[in-house]
Amino acid sequence: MNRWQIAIKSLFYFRRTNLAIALGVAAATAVLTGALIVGDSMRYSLRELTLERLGMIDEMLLSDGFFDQSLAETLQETAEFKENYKFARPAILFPGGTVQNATDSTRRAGQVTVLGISPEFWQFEQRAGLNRKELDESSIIINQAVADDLQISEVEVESGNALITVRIPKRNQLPADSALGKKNDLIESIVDLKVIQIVPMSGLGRFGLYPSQADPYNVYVSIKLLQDSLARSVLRHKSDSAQANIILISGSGQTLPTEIESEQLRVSLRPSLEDYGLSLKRATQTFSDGNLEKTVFDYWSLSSDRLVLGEAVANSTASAFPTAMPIFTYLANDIRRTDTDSGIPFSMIAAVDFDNKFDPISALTGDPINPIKANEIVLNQWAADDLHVTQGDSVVVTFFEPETTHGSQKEKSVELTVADIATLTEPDKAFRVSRRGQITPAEFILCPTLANDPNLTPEVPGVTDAQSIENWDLPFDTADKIRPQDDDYWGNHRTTPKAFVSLSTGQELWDSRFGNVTSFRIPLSAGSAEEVSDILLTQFIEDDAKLGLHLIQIKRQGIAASSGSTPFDFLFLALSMFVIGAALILVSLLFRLGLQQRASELGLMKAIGFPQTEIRRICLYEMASVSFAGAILGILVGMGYACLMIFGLKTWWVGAISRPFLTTHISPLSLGIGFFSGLIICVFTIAWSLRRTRNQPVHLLISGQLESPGTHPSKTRRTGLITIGMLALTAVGLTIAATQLAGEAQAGSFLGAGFLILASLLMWVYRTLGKSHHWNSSGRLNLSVLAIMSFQRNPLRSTLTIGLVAVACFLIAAVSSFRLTPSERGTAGFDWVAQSSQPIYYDLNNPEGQALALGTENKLREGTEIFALRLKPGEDASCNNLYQSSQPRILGVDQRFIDDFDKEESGQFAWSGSLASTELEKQNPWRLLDSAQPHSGTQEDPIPVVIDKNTANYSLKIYILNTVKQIEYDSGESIYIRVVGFLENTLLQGSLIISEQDFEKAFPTLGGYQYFLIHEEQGTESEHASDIATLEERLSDQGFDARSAEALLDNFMSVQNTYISTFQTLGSLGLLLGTFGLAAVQIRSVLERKKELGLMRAVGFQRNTLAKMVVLENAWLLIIGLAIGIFSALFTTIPHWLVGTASAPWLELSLMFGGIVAVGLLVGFYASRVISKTPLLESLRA
Amino acid sequence: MPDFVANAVTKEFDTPAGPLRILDGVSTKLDRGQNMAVIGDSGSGKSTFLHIAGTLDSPTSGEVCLMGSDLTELNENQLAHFRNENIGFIFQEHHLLPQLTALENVLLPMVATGATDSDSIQRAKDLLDSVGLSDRLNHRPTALSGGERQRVAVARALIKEPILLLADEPTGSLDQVNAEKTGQLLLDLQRQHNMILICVTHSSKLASVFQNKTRLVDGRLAPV
Repeated sequence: MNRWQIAIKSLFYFRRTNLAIALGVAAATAVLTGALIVGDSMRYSLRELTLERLGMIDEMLLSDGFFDQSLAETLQETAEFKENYKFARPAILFPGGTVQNATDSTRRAGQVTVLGISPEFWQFEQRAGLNRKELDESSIIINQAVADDLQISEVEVESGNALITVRIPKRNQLPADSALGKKNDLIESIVDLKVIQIVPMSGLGRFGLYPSQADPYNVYVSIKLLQDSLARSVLRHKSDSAQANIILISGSGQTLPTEIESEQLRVSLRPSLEDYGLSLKRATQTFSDGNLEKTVFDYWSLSSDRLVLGEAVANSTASAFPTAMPIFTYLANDIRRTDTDSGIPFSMIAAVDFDNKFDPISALTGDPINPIKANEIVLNQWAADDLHVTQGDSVVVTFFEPETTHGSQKEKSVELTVADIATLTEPDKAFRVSRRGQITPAEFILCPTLANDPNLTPEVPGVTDAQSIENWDLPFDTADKIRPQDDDYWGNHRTTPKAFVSLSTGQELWDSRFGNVTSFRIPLSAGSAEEVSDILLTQFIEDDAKLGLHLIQIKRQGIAASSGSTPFDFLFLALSMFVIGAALILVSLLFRLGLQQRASELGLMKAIGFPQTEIRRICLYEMASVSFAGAILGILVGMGYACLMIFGLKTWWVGAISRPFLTTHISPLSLGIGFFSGLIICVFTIAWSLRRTRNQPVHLLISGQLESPGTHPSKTRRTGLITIGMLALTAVGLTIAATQLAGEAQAGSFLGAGFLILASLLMWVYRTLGKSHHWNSSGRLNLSVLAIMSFQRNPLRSTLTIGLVAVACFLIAAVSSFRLTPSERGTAGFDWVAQSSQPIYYDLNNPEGQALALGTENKLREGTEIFALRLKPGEDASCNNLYQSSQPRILGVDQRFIDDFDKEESGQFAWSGSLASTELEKQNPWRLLDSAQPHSGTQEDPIPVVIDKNTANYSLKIYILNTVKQIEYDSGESIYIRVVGFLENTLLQGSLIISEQDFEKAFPTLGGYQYFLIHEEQGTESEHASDIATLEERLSDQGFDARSAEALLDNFMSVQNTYISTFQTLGSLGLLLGTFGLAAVQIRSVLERKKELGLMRAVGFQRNTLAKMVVLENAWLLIIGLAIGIFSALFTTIPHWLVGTASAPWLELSLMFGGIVAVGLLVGFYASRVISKTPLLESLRA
Repeated sequence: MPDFVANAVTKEFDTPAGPLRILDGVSTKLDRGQNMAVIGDSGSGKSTFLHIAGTLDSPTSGEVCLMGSDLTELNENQLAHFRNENIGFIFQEHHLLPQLTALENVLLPMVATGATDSDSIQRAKDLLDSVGLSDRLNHRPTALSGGERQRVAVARALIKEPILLLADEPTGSLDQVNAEKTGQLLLDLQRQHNMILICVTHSSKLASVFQNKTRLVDGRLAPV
């Protein structure tokens, strides 16, 4: 025989007790395992959703503009592609489209992804056999989410009566925020498309760029349809309209292409200059004088289809061709003599360096014009004649500031001295423009000069190809200022600049976030067109230039994001903590009860010389075996528990995950972790319980006493009293302090105070139970007193039982303090939040802007204040998105927004913390975004950002202020942000908020405003609704969609509130478990006292009387536990309710506690039946 | 020096009313082969003395020595080892482990310092044979009568061949016939194994067959 054999024999002999302990272990293990499985399932489901959404699309080439769709074929021909990839298909993607039911214009949806696809698109579906109808140029396929929103049924689709209008952005060549950029007519409508199929929300029906479990709105049209629709606008400058803006790429293997393979593919990609939106054109002017052919100028002109060359292109070009001449041509509204009111309207002024070595412009004297100073200008001969100015005269040049805000152009003037006059030759025959826009050059009898170069102005469709200046397609009126001679000049010279300034002057005057070079003159000696292109493209790769074509590993990113914003395993572990705690207390109670039964056995073993460690070891061998069996059972139950939790998340608590997409996934690792964790913590709990018996004298153990009766020496009594007093005082102090706090800090303080009260009450109970002789000094006895005296026999056990009930009641009730309700500080007084699919460029806050945006007959009521915010599209980082966010949405707030919070009468957002140091910043922490100069967004100069605390913590994993973090977008931007303030539970959740000037610096190509906060000063609700309806109706093309600020905030808060409900439900489960623990304690207690109860029956107590006594004992334990728990909870919630935002669901809580009392009493009745069933003599002999 | 010495042993207990002195200078000396019965009224401290003699409890003052070792100076683990090697106990309630058979119960002390071997098993069988239970080796305590259980307890007390055998009311829960048999068995075995036997009993009849008879009165031992 050895220790193990003793342990095993004990294990089977005490099988009933051990079974109960095993069940307790099983409960703890089940909850642990269940929580881990919930986490697994969440990650698995998010990952599956990613794989579903992308099908076989592993990577994607994404462009800011359009490229020739043959690039996909070229890509497929590369060795790198053939080695690691399967196929690539071009498509057009517009993430910000809107759709409208053609038969009912009120049924519309914004934020729709419009996909222009070829039939091969569906090859990316992972599942075969899906019947997808073929699209033609008048048909459309929509996904179920769009169908639901537009209320289009399958029946309508089958009958061919479902028609919808799709609106897509028609991006102008010039940025809308630039002076020449158009602010309206930026939407292309494709009307009456017949819906031929509704695809379900699975597979590519869920396709989307950003990971989100929410249902995306997708429509699918033929790529040809989009190409044709855009041919006259966006694609007008392209040599071929067969353009695409994405290429979807599938890897060849079962596994994802590696990052190295992806990088190899990126390097192998050779787009043309046109694919980058660049144009390389030979600018040449020859003159034939009889037999002599003279070249006036002959060079390569590199320009951009966006008018201004981006910084990256300019830098690479300068590196590739050091002799290339940068030119910056701008439109002057007016050039006049200083002493006159008006002069020449709408002239091109070229900023060039006159000291450049190749082909200097010559003056009237025939000499080359020397470099000019910053305040000087060179006029061409025509302009000088028109203005009657000569060298040394002053002229005033008026122009629009290069960037506009809220669509309003501001003029600016500069006075310059005429440094020289450039020779200009008048042509014999003017330029001719055919109806198709073909331009035939002017013809000269006299030799033209270098100043006769219209190529110095880049092509701007609608302007440079216009028949007359009057026909210029610009966002301002030109006609009333045009004089006859201006049209003549246009006919003879077209875009030929009328004046020149130095490059530095031009760049100083007209520099913008879009760039400061419009073209490069590259010497012909650099090579042929192909050679120049190759040199440039090679240089772009060398410089790693960000030119708007990005190869992104979309599936890899999606899978990485599937790790989730919220660690659901830890969350559910935390939410289930009470159930685990209850199970452990149960394990401890049951083990101690079993130990009690075997106290004399322990004593005997000690008596015959077993060292304490040996006894402990034998007990642990036995209990480890029990725990092992319990843990095995636990993982089985845990799987069921997880299924129940997942069912709960898909039904009762769906608010926490937005939509019921979860499927159960069980990983062996989680089962292993759950098993060993359950085993270890239970064995530890048992070891702790065993440890308490080590000091019990052997002779007392032998006589069956596991613990000495509670004797409190006077010193211990005093210490106990002091501790209780200190705890209560601290609780009161914390409550008073909490009234000065706000939000979660306040709720936390109240909860802490309640917990201290609970602890002090439990200590008081333990102490009081220990003082048995004080209880019944009168000597009167009745059943209630007998019941109380019974549970006084074991103060620790009784206190543990009371504590179990009390803690559960307390937590369930008190956690309601954290329930959130929308508050004034959550909305800052804003009534509506709106977002548009496409940017709006006009200032909706003033009558002029409203007239331009909404039409002159539609005005918003007085007192309606709209704050327009810039928007960088990105992932929703709010708690509504379960995916880990790496490219969050960014909002840019303007100065007016920041200043508005200085006003005392303005509503304020709730701040959880900020880096405010000055008095001004403390009063208005938005000032932290304010700075004299925009931040560069580098690690050294990060952009100050304000974030909602929950967004920061859960989605971005930012926990403290002043954190600097890098954010990289698929669109190529990479910025560093520095957190300067945390908002607390506000409607701005889910976005990073930066200042407008930082926004413009970081995202120069993004114009207009897409996010709106609306405040209605006065008026009735119906008047407010009418305003919003006007906005939504008039801006429906832009997909303007407003929501009540309170409803939006309520939606955000519902996530936290759902977690609280989950905690309360799981807490109730724990309490139920505790009630079973109570039952176990009660039954054991009855069994232990069999002899004593037998004696009571022998002296005349009736069975029913004794049963009543047992029920009373149980009721007392329950009632004391409930009373302590509820009192402590009230201590927490009442002050919080009075000064804060607590809103406990009293009815549900009352029902819950009523239920617990009922179950507890039933348990008591069951225990009392043990007495009824035991024969008297057996009881006496026990 | 005698093999067993109890010198001026006192024992006090804390009560809410103040310290209560149960033993007030108990002294006695015994050598191997000697036995002693201790009688006294209920609550006189007989069991307390036995617990102190057997190191199950510690004295408030005084010393207890066995074979020259002062037992009051040993720590808990040393005491456990010492008890295992040198002291055998027999209680009024036999305290057999219900999950073990008679043989296993007898072998239990062997497990305290390791596992059993064939020698110890044979010795346990011999002991059970010597107490007349050779046909009850594999019976569990619930299958044994009160007298049989007590004899198993006696055998268990002897398995490690202790120097000191302590019996606390060994016949208290037995009928007259079994009580006499058990009493005689104890004395026979004590002589046979040359042990010191101290037996606490209420029974004058049992006490009368012991070499030394003492009474515990007012916390002190007095010869009868």
